[in-house]
Amino acid sequence: MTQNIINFDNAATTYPKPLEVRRAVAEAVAKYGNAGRGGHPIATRMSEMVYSSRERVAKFFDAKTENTVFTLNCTHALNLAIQRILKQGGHAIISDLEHNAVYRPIVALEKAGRISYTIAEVSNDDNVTLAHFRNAIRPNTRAMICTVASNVTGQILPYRELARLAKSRGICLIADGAQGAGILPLSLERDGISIFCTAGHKGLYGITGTGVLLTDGVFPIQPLMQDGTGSMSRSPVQPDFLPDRLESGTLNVIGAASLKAGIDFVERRSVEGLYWQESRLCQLFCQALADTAEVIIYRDPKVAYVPIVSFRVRGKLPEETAAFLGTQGFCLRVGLHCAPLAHEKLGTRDGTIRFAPSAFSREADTMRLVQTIKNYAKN
Amino acid sequence: MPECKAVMQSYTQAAHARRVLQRSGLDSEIRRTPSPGSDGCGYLLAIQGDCRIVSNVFAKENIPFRRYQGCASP
Repeated sequence: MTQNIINFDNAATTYPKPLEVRRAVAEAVAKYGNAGRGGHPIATRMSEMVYSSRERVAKFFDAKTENTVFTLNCTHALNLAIQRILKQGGHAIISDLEHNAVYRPIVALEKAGRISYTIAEVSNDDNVTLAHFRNAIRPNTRAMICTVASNVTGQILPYRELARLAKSRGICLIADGAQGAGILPLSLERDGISIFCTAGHKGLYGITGTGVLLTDGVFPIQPLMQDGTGSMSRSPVQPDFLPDRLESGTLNVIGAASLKAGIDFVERRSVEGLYWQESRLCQLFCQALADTAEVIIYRDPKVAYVPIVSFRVRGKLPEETAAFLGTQGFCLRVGLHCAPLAHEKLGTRDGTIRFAPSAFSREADTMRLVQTIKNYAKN
Repeated sequence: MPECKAVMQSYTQAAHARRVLQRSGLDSEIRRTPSPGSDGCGYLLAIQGDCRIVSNVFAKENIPFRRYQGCASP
């Protein structure tokens, strides 16, 4: 008998994907070739589809279409932004909840002697968080990088206020929107973010191999790679206009098709609706486990969260707990979640288990998971 | 109806310009440039309209383009 598998690891990648995304991918594989290369019918329809997808993404985040760059994933987008904005050196500020996609390039730049950096503590009080960032600013601070929401605890940072602070000081704010896109009403223009990076395969329900970088154009980003772009091809120099400057080589056109379909899905359900639906499951999860003393849930009632909950069982290694849950058909990620700073902050050296529902997660499965955890914790 | 051809820097810019022209009531088609010019391979917008009107729209909307082709520059 095939065991029923329930995915609660949607913060890594949403699964399953909506039917419309699966159809878009199948259609793209069947119909499309390469975009922006040639004038034949296949290239033309591909180019039009990619533009249409780019336009969709731009509209979703209130950005200009030409300032919307397709990347391989959020990590690629963040590295592009961080490494190129800090190319000339200077000082950077990151939060103590950052994913390695931010932390590692920052440390690499520091070890190469190119920059210095400060880690600003995130508090349960947004005003205190802001003060920590403000106090970390130096005359040579060029960039502030912060996650919109922690991939470990789900805590939402005061990204709008941080963007305002950065703008007031002429500093580039780079936001990691991997856990916020599709769940929070993010707008490049309204939120004042200089550079916004996100994955296409999480809350936007696209396939893996997709990411987006959106820029307001104020802080120029030089390319990490030079290659054919389908434009200005006689020149040995990379085009100096977006998005071509930052999109070298063959685009993930299948991914672009999936991203358009994914955003259509999110908009039909509404970002707000998805946030409340998934947050409700997190609340049920936390409330149902509140009377189980053996379970530690890393949440503070004073804090705003995206739908992610980190927890562990006292006296049990998180890896063992997650492995057991896997045998019962529940898929949850365990470990450090590529965010060692966050676990240092929490004091969870062995990591945590992460409950992360999606649009397709059900209350019944959530409560079955809760019961399974309770039974495991008490044995 | 006169046809105006504007050589664009990239497909993305051509597609963006086409959208803008549509909103101004001007139909256009994206085509490959007949041969790689001094810039290399590229795309042009063949617009059903007078180049002077097109030029005004481009200027108003800040649409970058390389040059007009096959017609006197406005």
